[in-house]
Amino acid sequence: MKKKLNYVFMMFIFVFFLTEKSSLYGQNETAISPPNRTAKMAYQLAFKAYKKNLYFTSASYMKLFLMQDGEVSVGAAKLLDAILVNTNIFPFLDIPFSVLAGVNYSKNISFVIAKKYFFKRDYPNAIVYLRKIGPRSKYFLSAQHHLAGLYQMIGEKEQSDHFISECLKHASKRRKTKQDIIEEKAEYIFDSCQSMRARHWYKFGSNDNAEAAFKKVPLNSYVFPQTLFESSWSYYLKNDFQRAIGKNITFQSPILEDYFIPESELVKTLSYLELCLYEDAIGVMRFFDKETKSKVNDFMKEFNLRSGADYPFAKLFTDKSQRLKLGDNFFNRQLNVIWTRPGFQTIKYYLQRINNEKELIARVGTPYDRKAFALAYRDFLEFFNDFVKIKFVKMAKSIIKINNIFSEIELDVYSSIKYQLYDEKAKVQKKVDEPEKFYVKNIKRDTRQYYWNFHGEFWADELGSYIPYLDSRCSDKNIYMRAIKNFEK
Amino acid sequence: MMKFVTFIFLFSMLNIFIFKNISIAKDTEKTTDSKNESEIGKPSDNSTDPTVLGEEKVIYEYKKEDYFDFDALSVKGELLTPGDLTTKATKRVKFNPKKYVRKDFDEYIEDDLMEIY
Repeated sequence: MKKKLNYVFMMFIFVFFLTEKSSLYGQNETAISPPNRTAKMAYQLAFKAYKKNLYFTSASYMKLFLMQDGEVSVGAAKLLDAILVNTNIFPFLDIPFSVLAGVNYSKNISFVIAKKYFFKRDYPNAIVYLRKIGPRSKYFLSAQHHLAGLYQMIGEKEQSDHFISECLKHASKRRKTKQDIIEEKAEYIFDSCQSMRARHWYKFGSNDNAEAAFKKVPLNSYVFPQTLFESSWSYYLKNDFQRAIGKNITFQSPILEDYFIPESELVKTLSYLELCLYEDAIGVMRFFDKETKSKVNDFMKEFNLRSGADYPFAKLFTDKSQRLKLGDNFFNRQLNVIWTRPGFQTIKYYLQRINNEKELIARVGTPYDRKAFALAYRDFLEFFNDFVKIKFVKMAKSIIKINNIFSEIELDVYSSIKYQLYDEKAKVQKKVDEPEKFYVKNIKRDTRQYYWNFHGEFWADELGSYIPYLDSRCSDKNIYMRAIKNFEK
Repeated sequence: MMKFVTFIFLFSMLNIFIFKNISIAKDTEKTTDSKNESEIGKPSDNSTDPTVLGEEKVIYEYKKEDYFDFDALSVKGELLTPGDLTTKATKRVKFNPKKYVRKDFDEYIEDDLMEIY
């Protein structure tokens, strides 16, 4: 009798998985069978799947359990935590807030809720849940990292400073244990908090501290290229325009060739303008317009962003022919940059795990398990696709924004030159011997050699140290005439 | 007696003078009227007059010089136009790069936190 009853409940669950995902997790859905019984069965199946090492399948059953049952027992919360350790939070991001908030005994569920609030840009609520995460949670370090960033974003200086220190302290301890780097993430988080310290000083007005903090980021860190660019703003504010340009010129080196930060072109342009090097500034803007903006248009056409193709962005990493379609441009190279991101490394790690589970489920799983796994697999691929898509869309938006700013600047430059041409104030014409523009200071050189001449060489250990020798032409009257001639070309 | 004789003499002389003037004035009036009568209805001796010949050519002549007394036209009073509001554009709008300078890196922090690891 009991076996028959079990069979009936299994049938109920099978019917559930045949339905669409949206209706399955919709907030207003009512259970097909009496809620408690379905929930109980879902919990049992989740437990069984977990025992068979089918973690993503177990996560699907657990979602069904959470949607059905208002109260989550201590045992269920422990199972949920165990599943979260093995699948990360990906499978649980589409559960409604009200359901997740009802889970009281879980150590890790607060991180899921906080992350959902973060995606909604509701930072105060995200902070509330992040602060609930204790040191015994798997997400404690991530929580410190998030708190440091969120407090900075909402402008709370003291709290931001406090949590950056906490983040660095805990990350430093954990990375010494040399545990699984992808699971523990301590190395990534340490570097990220280091750069967050610099951002903190920059935002709250201490540029010297910001500069010192930027210098602390090691050359081999994954955040180094981004830090290189951000530090250029710091030098710009200190009126060290040569160094600001030098920092961004470093992106031309072969080792950083893949990195394309549109805003880096803006820093270069503004620095050239401050030095009255109008030709160089216009040159940067025109190159950007010609080479970059057109590629964005091509990209948008290629990936008709509104089309409902199957995971086109995720396929860029899994299907070589898709990547070849992009052609040789910065979008293609951006894939290499995304590859180095810790977020992508985590996805890659769990993609491997879910593929392993796919093989395992073919051997040991029941038909219900396979259906449950298929839903989990679909959710994961959707997240993967969205991750890459968001990166590309943000880049495209940034390019368009910078292009618009360049249009404004170009007009400003023309009017500025026009007025200065007719300026009645006599300016003393400064006769300047044209030096080679890009010879570099503060670089190791021979004792007999005063300047180190730059002919396009970049050395890995000197990255970020280049300073082009550029004299300000602001007192040179002929600069305007030269600029006008060049514009006319 | 002598006084009476001189009075009569002077009175007669005065009468003679007055009547003589009146007759001269009458003569002058007669001559002007007769001249006007001769000009009306009779062609003048000038045979090249275009109006007379029926041609349409009309020649107008203007004064070569004229004189205007502007001082006479000037009006004394207080100027009430809002002259204080008008300014001369001596200062141009300069290029201001400050509006493009980044104030914080919140955008990039959000990018970092968007990832799950």
